[in-house]
Amino acid sequence: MNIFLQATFEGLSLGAVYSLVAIGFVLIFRATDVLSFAQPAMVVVGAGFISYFATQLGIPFIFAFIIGIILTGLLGFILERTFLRPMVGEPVFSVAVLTIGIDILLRVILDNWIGINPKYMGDPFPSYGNFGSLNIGGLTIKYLEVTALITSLILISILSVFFKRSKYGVAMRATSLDQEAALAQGINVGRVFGLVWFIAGLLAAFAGFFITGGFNTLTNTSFISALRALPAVVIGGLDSITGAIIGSLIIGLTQAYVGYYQFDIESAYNIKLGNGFSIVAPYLIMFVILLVKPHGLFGTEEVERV
Amino acid sequence: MKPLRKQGIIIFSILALILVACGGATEETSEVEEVVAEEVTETLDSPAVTTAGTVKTGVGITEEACPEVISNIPTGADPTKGCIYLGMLNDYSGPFGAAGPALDIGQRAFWLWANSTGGIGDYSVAIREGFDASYNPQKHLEGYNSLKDSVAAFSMSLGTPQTLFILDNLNEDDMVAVPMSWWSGWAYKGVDASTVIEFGTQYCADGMNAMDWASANAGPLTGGLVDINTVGIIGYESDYGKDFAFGIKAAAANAGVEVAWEYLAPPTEFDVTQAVGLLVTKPVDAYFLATGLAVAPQVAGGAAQQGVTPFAMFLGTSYNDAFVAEGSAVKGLFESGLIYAMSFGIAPYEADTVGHATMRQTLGQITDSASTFFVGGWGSQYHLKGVLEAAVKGGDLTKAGIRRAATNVTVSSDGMMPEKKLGSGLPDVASTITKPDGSVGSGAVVVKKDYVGPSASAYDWSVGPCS
Repeated sequence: MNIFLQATFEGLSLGAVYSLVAIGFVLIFRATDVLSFAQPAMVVVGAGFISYFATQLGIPFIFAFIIGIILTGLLGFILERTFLRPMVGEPVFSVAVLTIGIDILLRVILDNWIGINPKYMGDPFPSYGNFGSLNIGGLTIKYLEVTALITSLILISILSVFFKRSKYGVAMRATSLDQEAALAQGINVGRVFGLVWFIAGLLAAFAGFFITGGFNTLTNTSFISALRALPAVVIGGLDSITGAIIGSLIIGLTQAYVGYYQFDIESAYNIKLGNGFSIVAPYLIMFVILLVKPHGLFGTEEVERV
Repeated sequence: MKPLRKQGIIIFSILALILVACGGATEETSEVEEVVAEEVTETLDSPAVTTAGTVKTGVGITEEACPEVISNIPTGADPTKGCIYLGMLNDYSGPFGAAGPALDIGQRAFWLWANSTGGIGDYSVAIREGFDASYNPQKHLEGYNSLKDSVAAFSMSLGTPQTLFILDNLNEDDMVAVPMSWWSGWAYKGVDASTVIEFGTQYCADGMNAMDWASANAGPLTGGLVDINTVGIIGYESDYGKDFAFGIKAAAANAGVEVAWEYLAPPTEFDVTQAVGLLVTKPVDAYFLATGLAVAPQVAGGAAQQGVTPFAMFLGTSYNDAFVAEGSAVKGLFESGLIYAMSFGIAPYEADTVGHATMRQTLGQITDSASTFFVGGWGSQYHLKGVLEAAVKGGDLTKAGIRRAATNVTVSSDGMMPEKKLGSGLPDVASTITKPDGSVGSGAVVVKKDYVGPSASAYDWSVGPCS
């Protein structure tokens, strides 16, 4: 039972972090119809900012964290203004390829900065309790993971209120539904695009910290963790924030359950699923879901007149 | 386009390709044939060192002096001597991009020292600008092709899969290269036809020695708390992960230790949650880890968070001084005395040998880092230097001559590595075992140098590569 609870807790925590990346994907897709492949790079750049301010400049972690988050948001805004804005009206495919270019550009610069040694975030989590964890009734609760879970819930709640109640939130929803109609209603679509990239940047930086915080460290392979949010978006539906969250939780829980139970299952049934199956399993689930619901669990079915 | 015209273009292209294939032999190829024809009695097993009076030269050797500076580092070349040019297939981007610059500097620093202390006969040695292969075999080959006609040998070919990818080319071109990897296959002529000048302890022997050393020492080191009867293996499904795992399993079988589980996954599919899950749900007395730097502290730290801190030994690829630097989240864990690391092919920066002292003195003028990658870069050139010296003594500095020298020459490294007879089919099996310690620059102090456990001693190395 403890193993099940442990796996569930770790799966939920993983899912919560993935959901921050996934929501960024969805926000940009909804507003611009483009799946931004630069999002994984934004995740690690956010972590890089935090690490730089906390460990190299020696700024207290909490301030380094806030500055890093804001700077990543601003970077998203600047990227939209400089690279993406001139591409308005161009084929979606071209814009998507451009985001791949941005991803490579950002990661090359970051990798040069990371250098030989892994980078730490300078966060205090590992110093709490037993190497950053607390044991409650045989269940190990990790401070970083609990914080990730709570932070994700708070951010998702804030975003939900923002979309429903705020002027710009409503403008973003309107833009995502129909850009031309939104323009006709006096909405500054360009500003909305910038805002979307800013928010996606903020979320990426939060995810970046939770992916690389504590023992995890920032290295030139950290972005792979952020890439794992991609099947979550596909499972949930590219244009659904709820779908992104549910998809992320499915991915996180699948990864954790397979991780903890695979060897027992293999022994019990005398089968061999192969090492690394816990990473592959979410893609299998994605495959099955796409067979049943090609637009994802919560994605909008598109009807096009031929 | 009209069909006939189209066909014409296709036929022309095919003819052109055939012509290029048949007539595209390089100058060096004909030179090699000439060398082989002249010395028909010699085989790859012939002794390299002769007493020839004059030195025959070929591609990559000039009578003009080497440039004074390459890649912002002085070559130390003697302006009155000729130049032996070397190529470098390094990574400045990609997964090992971070290590590339340090390896580059390490190698250039070595030749700065070697040139300043006499060079190779009437020649100094210079490494041309490194080619960024990005750990990509195709780019590796591209780099090889772009450099092969202007160098006498390669000072570096980074990565086992990448070097294997160009092995046929090395063989065809009579080119030798120093691998920046410690795969168990490099010791065998049957694998590399003596085109690869290996150095340092290979991963497989490291696995055997890690197991044997842990079995013998875990108890005394932990005050009797650890008695190794069951072990787990965690690693990447890669040349080093598989070699290391093979060595551990061989030694475990020897020592009557049970390998309870083994988790080897490709780097992109490696799941920290699963690795930690195994350590937690299937406890073992010790585990052995051969991953990259990113996941190693996550595995050790993740298990420790759940109260699981078995005795552990990490392969050199999995350990880095950043783990024990001030501010590191895992410093306490790694310095707890429960985790030990194998060195990265060669004993770490501070080791007490003449070679290490020379390296520290030379590198100290260039960098203040004690990174293990500088040691790898520096140490990798000793055996190549021995081969070039043998080729000069043999009077043949052509590529074929250098290769022939590499087949049967005894090389030393001022104590950095044990003396080695290249082409003997016997790999270096002596490991250096280190203890993480943030108080020294390399982040590791030597606990045991040149350790050869009973398994590595008894193993029949003539059977070929471990994986």
